[in-house]
Amino acid sequence: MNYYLLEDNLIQQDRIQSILKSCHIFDQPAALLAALQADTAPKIILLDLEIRTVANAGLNVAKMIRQFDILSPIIIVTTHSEMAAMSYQYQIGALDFIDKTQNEQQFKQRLTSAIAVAEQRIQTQDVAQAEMISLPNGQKSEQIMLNDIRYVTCNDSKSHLITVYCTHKSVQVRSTVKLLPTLHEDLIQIHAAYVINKRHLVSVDTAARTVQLTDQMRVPYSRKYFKMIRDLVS
Amino acid sequence: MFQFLNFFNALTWPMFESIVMLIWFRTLMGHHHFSRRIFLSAMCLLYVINMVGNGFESPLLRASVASTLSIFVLLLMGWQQNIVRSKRVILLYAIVSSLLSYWVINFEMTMTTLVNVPFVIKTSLDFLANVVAMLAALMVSRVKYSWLTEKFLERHPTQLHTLLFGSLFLRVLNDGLAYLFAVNQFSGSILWDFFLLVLIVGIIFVPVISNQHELLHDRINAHDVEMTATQNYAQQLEDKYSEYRFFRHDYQNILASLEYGIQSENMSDIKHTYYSVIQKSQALLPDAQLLNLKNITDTTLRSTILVKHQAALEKLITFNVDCQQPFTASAFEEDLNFYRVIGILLDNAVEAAEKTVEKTITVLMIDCEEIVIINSCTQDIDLTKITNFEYTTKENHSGFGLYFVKQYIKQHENIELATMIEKNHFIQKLTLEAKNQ
Repeated sequence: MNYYLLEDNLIQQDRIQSILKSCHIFDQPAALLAALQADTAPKIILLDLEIRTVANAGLNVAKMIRQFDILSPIIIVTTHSEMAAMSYQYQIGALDFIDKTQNEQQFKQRLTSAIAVAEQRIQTQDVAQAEMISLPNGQKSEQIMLNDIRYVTCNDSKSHLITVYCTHKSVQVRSTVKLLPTLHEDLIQIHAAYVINKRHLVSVDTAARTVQLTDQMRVPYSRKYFKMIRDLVS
Repeated sequence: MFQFLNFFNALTWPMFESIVMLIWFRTLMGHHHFSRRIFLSAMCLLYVINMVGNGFESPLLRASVASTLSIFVLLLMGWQQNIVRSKRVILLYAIVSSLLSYWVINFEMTMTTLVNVPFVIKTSLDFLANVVAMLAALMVSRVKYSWLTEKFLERHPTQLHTLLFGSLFLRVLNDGLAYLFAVNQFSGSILWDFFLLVLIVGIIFVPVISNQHELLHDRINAHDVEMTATQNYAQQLEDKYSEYRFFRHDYQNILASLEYGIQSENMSDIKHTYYSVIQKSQALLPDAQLLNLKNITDTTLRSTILVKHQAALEKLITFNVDCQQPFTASAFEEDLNFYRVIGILLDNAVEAAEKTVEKTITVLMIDCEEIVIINSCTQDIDLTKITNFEYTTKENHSGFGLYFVKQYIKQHENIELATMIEKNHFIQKLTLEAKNQ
């Protein structure tokens, strides 16, 4: 596990290094980005939001990191407590938001627990499955991780709205069920109104005419697709 | 020659009638774009209906069948196209279009019976009247005024019912007169024709005018609310400012004692004062979570957010706005409905956040192209249902809000909405397109 820190204040650098011994420290965004791109090992990134030479550094650097690395946990370390943590979680998937102005003990505790959560997350995720697909939304599109998708269904036949059910979230966009299988070969249609991600297919219940997906989700299938589903399960 | 003319007229008459009816219907339904397939099949159906209707021997059937059936076809067409959710509104406009399409030809017939003209001239006058009716319908349809009364009528059922019964009555009366005309007991009256026209125009314009009146009224009210919100906000800023002044005063005191400690080189004094600074500064520093509105250059957007912010504060909800770069929705500046969409989404956010323990709303505005509203929410909401007509979590409410938003998004190509639920947070993300793209 490699740790990276972007921080231009010497005292704060020391402070964090005293907690995280093996931390690679950078005080300029460009150097950090280059180092991150060169490193293929799993990594945890700590960012300060304020770098004196660059305006809005933290957020912009995080966005740049996300362009080539969507998985590595990012932890924000800052004095900007008024900034909404929610905003960073949404925009760059920041894992945690740690306030530098806390006293030493609290700070250490928060940082170590955040690191622990990040390490755990890295262990549970499989880099090979981090494939993003672009989900059409009317004229626009939404990025979504393919492996997250459990199944997709439409609201009603006329509305042209579909809802994508993922592990921990659901997303509603303007699109059609029919269009989804064209996005990726793992998305397969099993019913006029349902498309599932075949990676999550567990079993078929012929009596209730449903398929079971991971996390106990059940989705109906229609007879037309039964053979194909049976072949997939066996 | 005469026979040919008669035959030609018999063929074209129903066609004119059906086209004119469809044009009126389209205009009255707010220029809804019907697909060509629907339009053509409706036209064929109307043609057959009018053809058959005019061919009946019995005067009673000839007077009523075609008009009734064509209203039915228009109603079905509007229904199938899902233009407005109220079938009564569609029915009203179907009746009005049928009244309008028959009016010109009725008027022409009245005129020709009053003045005795040879049969050839009468037939050509019939044809001419049909052409005039179509030109009139086309001309009105060129006026790209969106009537927008269907939403208004849905909100005012009494007015809708009065108009509907009025128009039904006119339709029945007209059919009755047509029957009398067919059995030669009634020779038509110009006065009645004009009176009828006035009534039809009245049916069309009463809701338009009351709608405008209501809009104006709403706008004045909204302005009042904005004024109050701005005043409250200014008051809150002043309060914060005095807190800062208070802190500054305290801070200077602490600095003075620190300096005294340093001069006398008394480490324990310095330590004591320093830790009191930390404690005090954490207790005293005013909460900086006021709004970050200065970057929202669009004043309407700013005041919309301000109004909802005040509403959220009253309900003890933490309301954050994160807008790092100047934000403006240039493509939507003229469109009041856009701000209504934002208002509805924020209202829903306030309402949902109020019920949670976390009570937070975060509004993100990113690069002039994304507005994201994130609120804490409690139960798992089923996304497949929320935009349905009748779905609502509010009491005494028709569940109009998200339905309106959905329709708006559907009608505008340069805006999209994605709705997400993630770990007890409800996220509405609007993606905008700049005007000059």
